Amino acid sequence: MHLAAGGDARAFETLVTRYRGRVYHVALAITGDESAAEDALQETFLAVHRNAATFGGVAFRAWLYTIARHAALRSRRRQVPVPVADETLEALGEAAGWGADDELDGATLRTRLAGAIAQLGAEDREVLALRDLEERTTHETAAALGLSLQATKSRLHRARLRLAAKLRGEHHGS
Amino acid sequence: MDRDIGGIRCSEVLARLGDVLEGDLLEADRARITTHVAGCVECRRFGVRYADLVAALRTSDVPPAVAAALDARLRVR
Repeated sequence: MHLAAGGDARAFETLVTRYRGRVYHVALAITGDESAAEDALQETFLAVHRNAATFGGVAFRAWLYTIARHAALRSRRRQVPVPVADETLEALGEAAGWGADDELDGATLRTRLAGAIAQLGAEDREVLALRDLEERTTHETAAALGLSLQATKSRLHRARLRLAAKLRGEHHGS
Repeated sequence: MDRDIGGIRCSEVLARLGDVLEGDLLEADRARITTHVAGCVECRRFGVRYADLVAALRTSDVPPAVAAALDARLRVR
């Protein structure tokens, strides 16, 4: 980052390549819209480039994700809320492939990830963004959501199972 | 599918998958789950699927078209 701040074009490209996936998926988790996430991705790295010289040198990822979150919120379009069904954990697991013998190879999983994230409700997307994409700790995620640790773990687990179910549903064409 | 293997049922293993991934288990629970998974092909398979999903979230790149559009936008900045 220090080289990028100093105007080193190659260092900036390396930084973009390293973080674009996470920034895109965080933006997708906030907007729930692939097109809006793409806009936010571009705005984020343009802002990083513009402001690189002012970066203080501490906690680069936190700084980057703050920019990404602001860009995503600006590009977010009006959404129809997705109701979160109160399913049992076993039912969620079965939808996600628990007990099934079908498999999803890694390449297919990665190809379909963005579309599956976009199909989730806002609560599921937010907890995945904080814990799995930004890799905040469970304590930090709980604080950001205003939930207890146990409630945060439960929400995260259910969100992952719903995401797995979306990926599996696409895989089976349903 | 909800067998008791190693003193713990499949449904309990399902509920603890997040803790397994985080290594956030008491030793006794870890031992029971390890025994269960060693003897339960379904839980083993689903555990791998769950871990693969989380790994994909943490390492996935952008789709190729999104990468190309980003590169083009940054070139004309």
